[in-house]
Amino acid sequence: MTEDTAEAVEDMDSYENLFDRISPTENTSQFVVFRLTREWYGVEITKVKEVVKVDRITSLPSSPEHIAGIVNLRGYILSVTNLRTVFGLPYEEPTEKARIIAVESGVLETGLLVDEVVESIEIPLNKIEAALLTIPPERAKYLEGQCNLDGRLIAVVNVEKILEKRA
Amino acid sequence: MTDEKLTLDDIAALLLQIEPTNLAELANIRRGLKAIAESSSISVQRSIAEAITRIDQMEGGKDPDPAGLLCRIGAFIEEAMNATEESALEAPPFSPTEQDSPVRSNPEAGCSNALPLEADSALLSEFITENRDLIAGAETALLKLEADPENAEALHTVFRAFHTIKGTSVFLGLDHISTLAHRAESFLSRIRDKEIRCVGGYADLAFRSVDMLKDLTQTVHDALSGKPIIVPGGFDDLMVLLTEPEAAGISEDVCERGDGAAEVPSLPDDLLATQANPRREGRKTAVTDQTDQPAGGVPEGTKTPSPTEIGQTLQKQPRTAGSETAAESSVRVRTDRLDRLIEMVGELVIGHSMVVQDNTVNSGNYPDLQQKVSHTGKIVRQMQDLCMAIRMVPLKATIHKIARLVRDLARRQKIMINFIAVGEDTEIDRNMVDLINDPLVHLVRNAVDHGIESPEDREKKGKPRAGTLLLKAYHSGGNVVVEVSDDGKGLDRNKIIQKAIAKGLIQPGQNMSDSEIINFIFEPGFSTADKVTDLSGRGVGLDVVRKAVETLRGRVDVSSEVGQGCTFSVRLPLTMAITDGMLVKVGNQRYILPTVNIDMSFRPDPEALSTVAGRAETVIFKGKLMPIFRLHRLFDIKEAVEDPTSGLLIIIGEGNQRCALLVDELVGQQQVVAKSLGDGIGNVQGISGGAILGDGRVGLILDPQGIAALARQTLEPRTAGKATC
Repeated sequence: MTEDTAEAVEDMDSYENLFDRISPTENTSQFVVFRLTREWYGVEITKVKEVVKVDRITSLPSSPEHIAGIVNLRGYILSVTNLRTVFGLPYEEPTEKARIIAVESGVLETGLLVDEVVESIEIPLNKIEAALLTIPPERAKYLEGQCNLDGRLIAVVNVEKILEKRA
Repeated sequence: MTDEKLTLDDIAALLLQIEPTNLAELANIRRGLKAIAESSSISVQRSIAEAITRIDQMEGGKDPDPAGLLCRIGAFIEEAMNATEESALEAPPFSPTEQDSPVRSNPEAGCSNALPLEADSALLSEFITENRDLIAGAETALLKLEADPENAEALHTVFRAFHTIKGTSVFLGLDHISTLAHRAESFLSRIRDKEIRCVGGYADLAFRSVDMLKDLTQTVHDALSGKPIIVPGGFDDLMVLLTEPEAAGISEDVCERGDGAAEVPSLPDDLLATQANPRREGRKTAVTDQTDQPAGGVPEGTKTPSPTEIGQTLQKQPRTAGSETAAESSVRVRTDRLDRLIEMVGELVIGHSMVVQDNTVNSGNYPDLQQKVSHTGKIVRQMQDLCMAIRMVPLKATIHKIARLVRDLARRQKIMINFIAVGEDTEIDRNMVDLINDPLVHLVRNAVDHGIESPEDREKKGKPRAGTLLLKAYHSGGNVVVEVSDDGKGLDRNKIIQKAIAKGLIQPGQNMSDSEIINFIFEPGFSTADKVTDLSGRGVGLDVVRKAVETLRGRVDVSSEVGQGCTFSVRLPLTMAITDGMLVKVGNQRYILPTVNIDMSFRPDPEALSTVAGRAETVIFKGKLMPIFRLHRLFDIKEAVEDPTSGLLIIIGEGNQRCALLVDELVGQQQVVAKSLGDGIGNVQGISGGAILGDGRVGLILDPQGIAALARQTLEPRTAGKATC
């Protein structure tokens, strides 16, 4: 962490304080980290409403492929997006570990179907880099970028773009 | 209550209870008034002095009508209270005390400054909602008053509305509204003092004030969202009209100013006045004792809330900004919270049913637990019923709006209409109320414009000069029915046929039943009105009504007799929220099919099945051939029953849209709460919504029309439309 902070300060100096930042340590965000196949993804915690177990998803006829269906979230119907489909990963039946991360932005909300929710960590914002060029653009637009945290690559999901896709 | 320190409020209250002959009490009031006058501003003193003069008259006992006098005293005291209020609130930015200056003819009256800076938006929006209620109430009361000018209670309602609005608007610094309310109040007080009667031009003026108040409230509403305040046109004119009688001085001797009517430029027709007259005569005899009551106060212990409320609220209102109306028995609740509550209760019901079905509870080993669970079950069910009841509101407000509309339309069309509303208390889901307003207004306009004839024509036909428009609302078999009937021309069969031929809908000489012909009036662009008015006849007509009603899952029927009138009946479900449905199983999926859409269901004999062109399956049922649509194929569901003879066919749709839907089986009947599918899913063809089933799963509600359309889309390329029979 100390190393990160030092780096952050350096970065700031090099940008000649474009923004009057109060303290570099405040420039971190909490992320919920989850797994899809063997890849790690993160979603900003402020956009996460809650994480629920996968319980009997009702599939919708003639709906786009990335829509896994709808679930009952305490009396409210929540649409479920299959993130595997969004990122072009092979489809698999949800396991015991699978979860639905209910995310919202503005008035829209959806549930992200993921293989496993791992943890919640703090990531310094300046460690998030633009999505790699090797990621195909139709997938990359659903990412805000990725970051390398202790040798682990975490792709940051762009919730707004995913919500737009559905709208 | 000590004698030395009586406030105006106290006196107003005393006055309501006092008997005109109780001289001791009168003397007490007189003393109290004097004491107040000593410490008040000039304008207050003036009113108090007037009141005291009247008391002296009463004490003399010479006056033939002590009750009327008492009422006038009440009026002066109220005036004094107003004056006190105004001087107390004199500060910013306008005070209605300057009633002697004519109208504040604002050079830029068209566009005034934005909202007062100190105005708090929460307060303002509360003010707006409250205003709207008050205005609606005032409007209704005015209609009553116009029909029965002696109705003191109606007058009070109008008065109170303006008064409350005045107080609040002064407090909020909304000077246009307060000016209007003030002047309207002064005008109304003349009616109250029986100096003028609320008929003809006066009624128009009162209605115009109400309309202006509506517009102004709307501008405040707009201003909240950042738009500039634009004072509606005609504001200044109206102010002059309202003030003009005032110029003679209200505190003068009342009887001398009976000829003020000429000053009010109004539509020159006295149709409504004449219309109102016979009715008033009728009422007069019926309610003689009521007309004798003083308008300003109610004698001897009559515990009607209205006048008492005046006394209590007069002073309080401006200070509390109308946030609490005394004796208010209802609480305003934000609709989203209400919806959420209802949703949660629905969830509670499901959660509870899960507990009931739990093995531990059902094992029979714990009878105590079972008893407790069934006890909570009762409570939960009651809660659910209550929640449903909360959603329901009476149609009163809608009907009152229509009553006003009819009045205005009748005046404009120069016809006479008796508007009769039956079943104002019929309740309907609050979400439906707004939605049915437009179709009803449309039907009413139609009736006035095309239905009811001019008085002359009616006389020639031997009908009473005044037409009758009946609006009747009632519950019938889980539905709300609203009927709009008139005794006018009725639908002219020949005219409709001509029009239909002209529009190419039918061939000349084609044989058609009456109901088929009448149904043409629901075709788009179909109007039999010869002339286009601003009311109707533009061809945007009944098709809109039908469409609107159908989106509410309702139905419009029409019946008509040429020359005798026409009745439209709109049949709507009680609530959009609850759908009666059949749960059907297809493969591993379950769907809800709304019961209204189901004609019947049966398991076909193998002989009844056949195919056309090798693909399109059909079934013969009761001699009729209809296509079979397989739900599992349309929705791509695996492991479903493929053989119709071991599944179930459900007949849905009407007319040539009839088709048989193949499902595995019927699971049962269920009432469900229809919800929209989650965000971003948009329209799924064949599905109208989702609902939470008893087991907590989401079930999809089928949309028969959508399914039929979907089936045609998938079939047509292959079978060249042979699927439709």
